[in-house]
Amino acid sequence: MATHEPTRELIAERVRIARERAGLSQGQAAKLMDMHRPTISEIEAGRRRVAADELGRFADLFGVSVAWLAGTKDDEPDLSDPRLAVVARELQKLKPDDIDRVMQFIAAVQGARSEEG
Amino acid sequence: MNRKTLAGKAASEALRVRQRVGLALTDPANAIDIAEKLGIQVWFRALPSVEGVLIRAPHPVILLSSLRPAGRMSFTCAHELAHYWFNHAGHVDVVDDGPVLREDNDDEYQANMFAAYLLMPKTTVQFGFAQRAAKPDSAAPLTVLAIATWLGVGYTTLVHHLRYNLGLINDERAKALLRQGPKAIVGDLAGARAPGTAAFVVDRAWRARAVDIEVGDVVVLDPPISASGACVRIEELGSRVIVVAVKPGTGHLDGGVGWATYVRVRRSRFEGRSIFRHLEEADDE
Repeated sequence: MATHEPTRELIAERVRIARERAGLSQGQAAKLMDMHRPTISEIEAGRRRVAADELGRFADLFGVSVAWLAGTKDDEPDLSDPRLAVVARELQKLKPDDIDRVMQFIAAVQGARSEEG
Repeated sequence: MNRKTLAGKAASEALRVRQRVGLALTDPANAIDIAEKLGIQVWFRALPSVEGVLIRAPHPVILLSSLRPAGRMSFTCAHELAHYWFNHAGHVDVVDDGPVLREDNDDEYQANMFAAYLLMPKTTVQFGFAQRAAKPDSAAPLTVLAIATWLGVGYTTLVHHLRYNLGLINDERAKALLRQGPKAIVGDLAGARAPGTAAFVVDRAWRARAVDIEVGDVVVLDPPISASGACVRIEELGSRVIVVAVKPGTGHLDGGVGWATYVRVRRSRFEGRSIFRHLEEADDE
């Protein structure tokens, strides 16, 4: 898995992508994070730094891994888990656009905190 | 294992899951709520060629296409839940126009049976008919549609289940019920207000679950009905009442003495985490 130095711009972009994929507006995310809405837009514009504890809370809220959100993990899933390799193989049945979207989705949620009871 | 054995095992495991999440034998089930209770994340995305995907990443995640009708999404969610429960490897179901998902191998067949019995156990189905003083072999199509709505499955799915899995109706009866689709049944009542494909009927026998609809859906009920919450609007239409879902949120419908139910409205074709699907817009937007 490739890693790279995270930039504020990359984190800003990933927060926006993760929020939108989770189905939340900026206002809804702000309310759930107990923040003001302008704070979310400042973060997504790359004008405000995200503290480490905030990054963890964003990751939990958006259902993604901290590593992906922080930009230290690529947008490609790690398929070393054989069960994921099965999915990757089966995905070949789908339309190319859908394959890309599912792979990107897996990359983001992979390693997110488990909710398994 | 032969298919009869697989079906029997699927039905008994589906009952175990229902028990585990605290559903009574006479309660309808919402597959998405069950998955969440089991700690599985459910997500919706607009994926044209997908029905559903089970991913272990490494925690379990079910991904559903937001482009399908509600009953279909519920059945697919239950089907992916089966793959999780039976510990099948991660799994992808491609889009298919058939009444049930593809079952070209035993795992798929068993997952379909599990889904059918999770959402439509024989006791629950029979209770649904009994509550409406009706029988599967003679109930009006409108009653069958009300039961399908209550169970959260498509009308056709319920008719197939009654015929092929439960054996409660014969071929002739199944054909008669399928002659008129749900759209036509509701269209007779709601006229021009009937939506493209979604068709919901809620009657006074409805119990033990929220009415789950999306913005733009209409639900046909008998009067009198009052509603609380900004998510729905009520319109009188002849001898019926039409409830129109207008924005995301939760509220309740009150039918007078002794009958009321919650209603949950999700965004139309919602994409995102299932736990946010009924979330109201924040005040400052």
